[in-house]
Amino acid sequence: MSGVGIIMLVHTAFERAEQVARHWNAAGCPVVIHVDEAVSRKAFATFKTKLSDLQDIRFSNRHRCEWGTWGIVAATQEASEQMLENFPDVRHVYLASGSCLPLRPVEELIDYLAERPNTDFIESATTADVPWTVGGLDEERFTLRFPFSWKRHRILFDGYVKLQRRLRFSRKMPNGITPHMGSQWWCLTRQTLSSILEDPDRKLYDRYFKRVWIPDESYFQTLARQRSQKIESRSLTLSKFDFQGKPHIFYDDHLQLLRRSDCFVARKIWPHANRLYEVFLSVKDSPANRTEPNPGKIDRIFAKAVDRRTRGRPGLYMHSRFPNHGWENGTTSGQYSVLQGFSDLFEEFEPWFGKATGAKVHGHLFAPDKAHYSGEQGVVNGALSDSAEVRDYNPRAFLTSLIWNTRGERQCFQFGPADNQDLTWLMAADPNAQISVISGAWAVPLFRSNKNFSELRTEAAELQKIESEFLDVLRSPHSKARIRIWTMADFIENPMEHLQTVIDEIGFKSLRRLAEAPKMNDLTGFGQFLQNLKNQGMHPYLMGDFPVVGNPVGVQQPTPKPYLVKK
Amino acid sequence: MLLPRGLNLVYDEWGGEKASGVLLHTKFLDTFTQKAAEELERRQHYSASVEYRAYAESLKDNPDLWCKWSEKYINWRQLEILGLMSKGNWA
Repeated sequence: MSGVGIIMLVHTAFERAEQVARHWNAAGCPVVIHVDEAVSRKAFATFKTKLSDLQDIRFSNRHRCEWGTWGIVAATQEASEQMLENFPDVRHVYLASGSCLPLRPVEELIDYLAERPNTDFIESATTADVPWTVGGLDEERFTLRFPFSWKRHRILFDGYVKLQRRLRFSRKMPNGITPHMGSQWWCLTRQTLSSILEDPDRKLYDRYFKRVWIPDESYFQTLARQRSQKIESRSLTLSKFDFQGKPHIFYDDHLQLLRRSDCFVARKIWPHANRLYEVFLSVKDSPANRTEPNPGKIDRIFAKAVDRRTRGRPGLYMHSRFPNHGWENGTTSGQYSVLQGFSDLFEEFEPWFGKATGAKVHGHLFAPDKAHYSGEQGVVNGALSDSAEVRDYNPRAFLTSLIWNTRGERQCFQFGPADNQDLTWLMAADPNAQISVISGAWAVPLFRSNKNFSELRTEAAELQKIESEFLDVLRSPHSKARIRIWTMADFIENPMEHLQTVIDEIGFKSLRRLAEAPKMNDLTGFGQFLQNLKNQGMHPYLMGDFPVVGNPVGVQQPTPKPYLVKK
Repeated sequence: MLLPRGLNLVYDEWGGEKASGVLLHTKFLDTFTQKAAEELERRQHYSASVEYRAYAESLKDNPDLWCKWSEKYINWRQLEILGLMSKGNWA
């Protein structure tokens, strides 16, 4: 017989419990089984008969084990007493459930514990220090009383908690002990366990813990702290909880994950996970495997799953993630640049900008006629169409889809006062957006066009109004985008430096500074054009100050080529 | 048996992702033009088979739904990465 005794708390899936009990027993571990009193007498009798061929298997008195109540502790206490009494060779008692599955050969566990004869493995932490409890009570578990079942009498439970809070009711810990909490599944030495069970004050503690909320996670965890010679505050049983505080159930596809954990025992296993039972109940002992349990490896994977479930992927909108406004945890999935006025001021700006930044540079995505994708494609990633009708049906979905579909490739697009303005707030409030505006540049295409002046005047007035509203949005305290605004006059004073700023922010690593400048449209006469608008009563102010005659500052006149006369 | 109401709440509203899957519509299968024609013959669908008429009509000239941005199906993980489904809480 080995020095490790197993206590199994069983309430369902008896075939699996039998299988595991036989597995423990075959390795020489005595097993004491507690079956929930809620199980029918007939089912219990069948289960008992099935295991009757084994020696060193005992069944303890049955208690009603309702979740979160004292019954589980009472059952554990009684089974422990039976274990210690009946099997004097047992040095460590391992508390497991019917849905626990040993992942490594039992011999490895036996040797592991034999090498640590005085160590208690029990996760135990003070409530003040760990935020483990999910949506429940933490410190109040110990200071309030809980006579009502949470599962069956929720209203009474909640009402009684409220009442006690109002009356400022508070219980004191008996003998001033500090409450500790931790996983229900422990492995204690005979010494520690018996000193808890034989404590002269046990009645006092039991009375106190009977009214504590979820005592199975605190009774032994607290009392072991008083008794143990050496506590290792971790459970040898791997168990994971999901974001709602329910235990994760392991299925066949967790096989590799469980294997990599190197843990001795895992819970909870789905009773129909045939492959898990098949594989883990037949693993052979090999000296190469004698490693420390390492749940950290799989902790990360489960932490990621919780993150995916609770926070999701930013910028993704689909049939199982459709956040309310303000709860998106990031409106868009990646960074993008919005450029206003650049393509008005420079000729062939888009290809030039694409070359300088390595990004995908679109035209006016929100133009009235259609979405002008780069290279005038009709359809882009994710089969997103260029139809203005589809886009304007839900502009927000259009932009977020485009950014999601092109993950990994920086998107830049032109924007302007002639475009659909529905998304100005969204973009201004989006930290992923980089918005650069040369204000008043919309006047350049008007200046170069061949339209009647009265028409130009109306259009200019309209565009100026829209752009000034956009600038107000950008300057609002709610905006979170990286925003730069230049008046056109400011910008053309030193265009290369400003362009460099925009490009540097995109973060494309180019070894050289910009060598080739984009070609600026000819602005000769632009000052006069603005003056004419003013003379018509329409004052264009967003572009800054331009002199009426001559060229704006910074714009170079083409100098005549010198003639070389060869002799 | 009454199913829990929560099953009707298929999407998460607070930023998280619930587990979800994808159905393959038969219009993506190469037998669909024949199927549409057959269903028009059988006339066993609601509203005088209005949907099948639309399918038959639009697929007649353009039965191939493949485009430059289509992706060859590999596995569910690919669909998850594309954001077409989610494993939610699954680890």
